Amino acid sequence: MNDPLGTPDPNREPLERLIEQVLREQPPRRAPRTLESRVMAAIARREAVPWWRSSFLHWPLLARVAFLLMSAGIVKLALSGVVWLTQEVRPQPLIGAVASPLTWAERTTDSLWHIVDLSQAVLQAVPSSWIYGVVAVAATLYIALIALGATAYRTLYLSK
Amino acid sequence: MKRKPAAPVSAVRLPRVRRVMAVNDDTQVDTTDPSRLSRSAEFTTFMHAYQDMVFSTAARLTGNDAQAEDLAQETFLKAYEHFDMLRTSPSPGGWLKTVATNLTLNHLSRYRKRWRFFSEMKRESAEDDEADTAFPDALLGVSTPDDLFASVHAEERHRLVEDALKRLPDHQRVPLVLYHFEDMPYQDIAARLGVSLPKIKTDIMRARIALAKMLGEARVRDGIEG
Repeated sequence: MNDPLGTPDPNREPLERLIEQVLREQPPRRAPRTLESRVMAAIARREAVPWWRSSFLHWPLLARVAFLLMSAGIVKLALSGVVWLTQEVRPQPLIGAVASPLTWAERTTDSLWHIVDLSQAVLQAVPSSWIYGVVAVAATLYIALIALGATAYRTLYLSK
Repeated sequence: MKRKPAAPVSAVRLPRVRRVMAVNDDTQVDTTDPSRLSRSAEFTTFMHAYQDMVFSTAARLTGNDAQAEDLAQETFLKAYEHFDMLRTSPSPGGWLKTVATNLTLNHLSRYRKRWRFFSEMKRESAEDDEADTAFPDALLGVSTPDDLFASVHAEERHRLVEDALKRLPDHQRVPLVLYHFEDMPYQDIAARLGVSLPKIKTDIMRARIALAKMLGEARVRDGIEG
């Protein structure tokens, strides 16, 4: 057999055969004794859950049909309600009623714009070299933290 | 050489239904419903027949017994959901093996994505350049497992191989196990793992060499050669 790069290697075929034989002779690993009890406990827990708290696919057929019919009824009712509202209710009072509670949103937006303007003024007042310095320090600290985490993970977890 | 498949569940003699089936200290299967009790007993027998195979599949792919037990549990929970189909299936072992393999590969894929930054910072190309592809000196003249483990008891031989498999890095162990234990062809392994075909072939080849080296070292260390 040639290697993936196409170079013939006389040692490769015997090695593949040897490893194949070694691995094929391995018996299955013995499962831990706790496996059976864990599985049966999980099954018991699942079966203790009432049907209406399990996933929809596991509901009884009648319950599924009833749920679908009820959902269709609610959708139809909601659509009828919207149609009735648009035809029967005069729009002007409705718009006024909806708009008045939304004035707080307008005020919040104005406040946010004030904060943006203030930030722009501060940034223009501070020398740009300071800003670059702060950004560089923050980036360095961030990278150092990631490197520290990676080193700790490799040392404490992977080396186990 | 194909391994002998586990006996189908229909061929396994079912135990008599016990009055109370304690499954752990604080959980018991409902014994008030005879059909459910019978199903549980039948499923327990089914598990006994296949749990070693399912656990082995997950353990060899992950190289981690705790993760393998979780994955085996997940596999059997899926089997329980499909037990009505499996109890009459001619090849429930094949179904279980496929589910165990898929769950394990999905688990490894999620785990790998999560920890890639931390554990795989080395450039693959650099790693490939450094790899030693020579046939291990300690194994020159060895052509069969009996040559390799001439005076080693079978149990010790199996332990040495399992330990060596665990020590392989994931990117070598997973394709090696899929190729040699699960009989998957190179193309299928490459497609399943989302890796190029040449890379898979190289990884499997290097895994064989690394495994052979570890076994050769164990052979020298344990004085098997003499």
